[in-house]
Amino acid sequence: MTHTGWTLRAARLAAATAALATGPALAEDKPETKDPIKLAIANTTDADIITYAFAEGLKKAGYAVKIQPSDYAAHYTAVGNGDLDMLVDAWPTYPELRDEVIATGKAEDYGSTGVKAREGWWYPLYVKEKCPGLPDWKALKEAACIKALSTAETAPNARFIDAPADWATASDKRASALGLNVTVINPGSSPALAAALQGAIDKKEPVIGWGIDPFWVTARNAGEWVEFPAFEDACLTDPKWGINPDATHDCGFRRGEVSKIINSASAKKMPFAARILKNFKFDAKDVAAAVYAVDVEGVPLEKYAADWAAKNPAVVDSWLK
Amino acid sequence: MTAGTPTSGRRRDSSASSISYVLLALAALTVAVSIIWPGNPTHRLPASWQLDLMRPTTQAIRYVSSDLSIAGIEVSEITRAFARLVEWPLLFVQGLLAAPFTVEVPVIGSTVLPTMPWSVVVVLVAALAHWLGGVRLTLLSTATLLYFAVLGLWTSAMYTLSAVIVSVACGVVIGLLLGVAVYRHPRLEAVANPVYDTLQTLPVFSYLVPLVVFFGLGPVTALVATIIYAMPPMARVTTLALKSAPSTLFEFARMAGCTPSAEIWHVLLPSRMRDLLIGVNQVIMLSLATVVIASTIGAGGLGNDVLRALKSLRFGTALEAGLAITLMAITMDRMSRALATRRPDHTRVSSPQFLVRHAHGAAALALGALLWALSTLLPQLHTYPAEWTLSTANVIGEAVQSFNREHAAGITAVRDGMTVTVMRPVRDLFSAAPWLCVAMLAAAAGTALYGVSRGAVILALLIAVAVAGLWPHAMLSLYLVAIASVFALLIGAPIGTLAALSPRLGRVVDVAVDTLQTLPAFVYLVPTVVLFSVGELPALLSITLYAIAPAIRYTQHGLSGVEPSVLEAAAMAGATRTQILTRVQLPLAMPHIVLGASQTLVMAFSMLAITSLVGSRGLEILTLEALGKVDPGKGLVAGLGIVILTIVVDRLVSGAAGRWSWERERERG
Repeated sequence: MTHTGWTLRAARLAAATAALATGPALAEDKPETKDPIKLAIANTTDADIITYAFAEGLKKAGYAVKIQPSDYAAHYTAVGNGDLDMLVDAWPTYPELRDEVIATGKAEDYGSTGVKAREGWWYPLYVKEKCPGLPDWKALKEAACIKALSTAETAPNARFIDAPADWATASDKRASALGLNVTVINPGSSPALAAALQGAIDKKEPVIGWGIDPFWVTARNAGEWVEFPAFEDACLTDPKWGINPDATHDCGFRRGEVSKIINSASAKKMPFAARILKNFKFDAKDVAAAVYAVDVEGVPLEKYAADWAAKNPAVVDSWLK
Repeated sequence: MTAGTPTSGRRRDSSASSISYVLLALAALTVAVSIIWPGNPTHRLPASWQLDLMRPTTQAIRYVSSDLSIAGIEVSEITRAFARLVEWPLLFVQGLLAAPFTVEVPVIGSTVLPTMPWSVVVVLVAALAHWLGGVRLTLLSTATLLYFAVLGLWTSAMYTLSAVIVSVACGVVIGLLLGVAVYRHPRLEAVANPVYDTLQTLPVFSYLVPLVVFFGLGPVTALVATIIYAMPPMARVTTLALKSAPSTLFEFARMAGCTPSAEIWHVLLPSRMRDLLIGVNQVIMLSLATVVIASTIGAGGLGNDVLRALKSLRFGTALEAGLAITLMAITMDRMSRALATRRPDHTRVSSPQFLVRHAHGAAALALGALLWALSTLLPQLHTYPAEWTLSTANVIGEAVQSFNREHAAGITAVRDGMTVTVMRPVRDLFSAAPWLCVAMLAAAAGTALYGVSRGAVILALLIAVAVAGLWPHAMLSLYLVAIASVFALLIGAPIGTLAALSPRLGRVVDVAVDTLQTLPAFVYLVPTVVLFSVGELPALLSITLYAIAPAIRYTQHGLSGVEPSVLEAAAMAGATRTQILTRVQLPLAMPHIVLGASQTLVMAFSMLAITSLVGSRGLEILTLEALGKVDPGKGLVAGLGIVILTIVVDRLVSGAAGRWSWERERERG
């Protein structure tokens, strides 16, 4: 892992300084193992900052931590078979992968991190000139709006720039259930999604695509979310639910909080670390600030997390209780 | 990729040609029927005739990975044990080059293995380069290492270098063993060749998920993926080298009383060292080509730096890390080639003293040791200080964005023009063609080139694609590859011609082609997305850029390979420069150019998988979706679809090229 050596040193320093200032959390709580606790980052700053902040907590408690980059979907498989001990970035928007690994009994759900996440269809404000009915989704049924949003590749349909395929957004199912003349284009990767959105916004080209909050594209550009019929679980399973009696997915997107998962064997092996995970809470505002600092200003994520932990010792200590 | 030899014109039996005419007639018939009755089973295979192969494959992999046990040990336990075995050398090399590594030694307890200071690495590599290739190679390798240091990429570069060293070592050993096994049991060849073809064309994405299931997450899994992709050339080269050994060597070995295995390992292989080193070179290049993809499952290093920079559109940073990969690839390529072409020096072997014979190496080691000792006093020699690093910051990113803002209308016009005039018509043609018609056309061509049995194999393979329900996606892949290959040839062949005519331009083109082939595609893919948005146009551009390399290279080599005496004769006969080019050089170089065309197609296919990352929609997107849904069966089945397309197209084009140049030879007598 890049720069881990450096980070460990910096973090140890930070932890030592913090320990001098506040004293050890509780004398009887000691790490049960010298083995590093294995965490993963998905190379997406909004998720990775939560992982790094959590790692700062574990280090302060005296654990060694090993952070390795991973594919987002693969890291659910990994926490199930013990390649990862815990993860703190289970996004709420498409919980299938999380539910699947918890159903195997090899991993346990440890509740919310407190970070509220929002994802869905998003557009920059100037699109409203062409589609005056927005943010209501019915505006996307107007012919003029569809025409403004179409491109040579998707004509006569509007172009929708979706999230990468491995995020499993089901945007195409939404479009067909709600009868929207939209061609869903899959950018394949999150750099491509950001590049496509920002590229269109720079050109002032009408565009609609997958928005994520917190994310630097939605933070840097003024925009709004399309308002669909509110999400309910039944919408995904019961065709009769909602305005289209013959189709599922005739609703908006699930909203919720980013949650935490632990490998069942790891939970038994290190109860102290498991308790830290259970206590762990993070603030969405901190995520947004980190995303801006890292993605726009270019501060290394590891350094940002270490600095954050040094500046917020009380928050970190509250996890170690 | 090996192409079978087409049956020669004289020996081609008449039944094959009549069968291919029947197939052509049937293909025409399906078109006629489909015009009258669109959607008939020969036009669009009905869903009820298709088989779902994906779900059973996924279930099988899940079963093997989580439930199956051999002799009471779960399969995943065995693969995990193997992963730990491979992890050890990797951690060791990483410890030496990148980060301190703690080893548990039984008596002493845990010991930390010290990391080599950067200055020592520079000195040792420079000495190695000098021994291999003199001053020029020394300059190149030193410049490369200094580039890593100055741009603050040292640690990442050392992680990547360690991964490449270990994967090359594993790939070479496995390749040698497989190559020897195939040589000793020629019957294995019938299995081995298609397997190698499959490993080299199967998109890495399609087996990442199964690998994570079996080997866990992290550098080892990335290493296994790299080895799978990079090993086949070594195995092929080994078998080929053994086969082409001169018969006198066998006789020598027999007379010396060698056992069969001693004959291979002590006589034949050492004598073919130069061929084998070409294989090593290929393993190195292919390992570096997978660096970015491997970083998506935890390889870290430079590939990870590229991905991370691109996620926030810091193109400058991404380009810096990407060029580091390119420089590493070019340096390792030149060093391994220098090793391959090195002539053994027989004059100095007689020097009695070991130290005299190896004065060079000894001096380098001494200097290295001295620097290491000094580095304890001068930390700048140990870890390259952060204050000495430079970065271009985000100048490039801002340049791309401002170009995009200022030329919005022009960019949109180019994008829409390309889409409307070229891409949509071709895509519509490929999608509208009845599937059975395409399959029969391919089978007809295969029958005419190789005979009835191979034609039948081609037909069966394509029917399998349709039955697996992959046909519509397969056509979307094929159309992109077809347009991109045509573009690559149209642009590449003239550039190759110019490069052959002017040696100075040739050197510039050489560097450009090396860079195009080793720079991770992602580095130039994402800026194209800013300009042209996601979709098939950036995919097309990136395939074209990557596949242009063989078009340039083969044209250039074909033209410069023409005997100078022939050119002189033409000049003396009073031909102008243009006449020499068009009447003498180009016709003589044609076989090379045609070979270049078939290589261009293969390259285009190998780029396909990456383009799914910027929005192409063929079979490659299925492999990417599978990665997201952790659905190993889907990824493998779609990946095999790409393999079938590649193999069929490659065989047909290279067969046609071989036939064509054979017939030209005959015409010329």
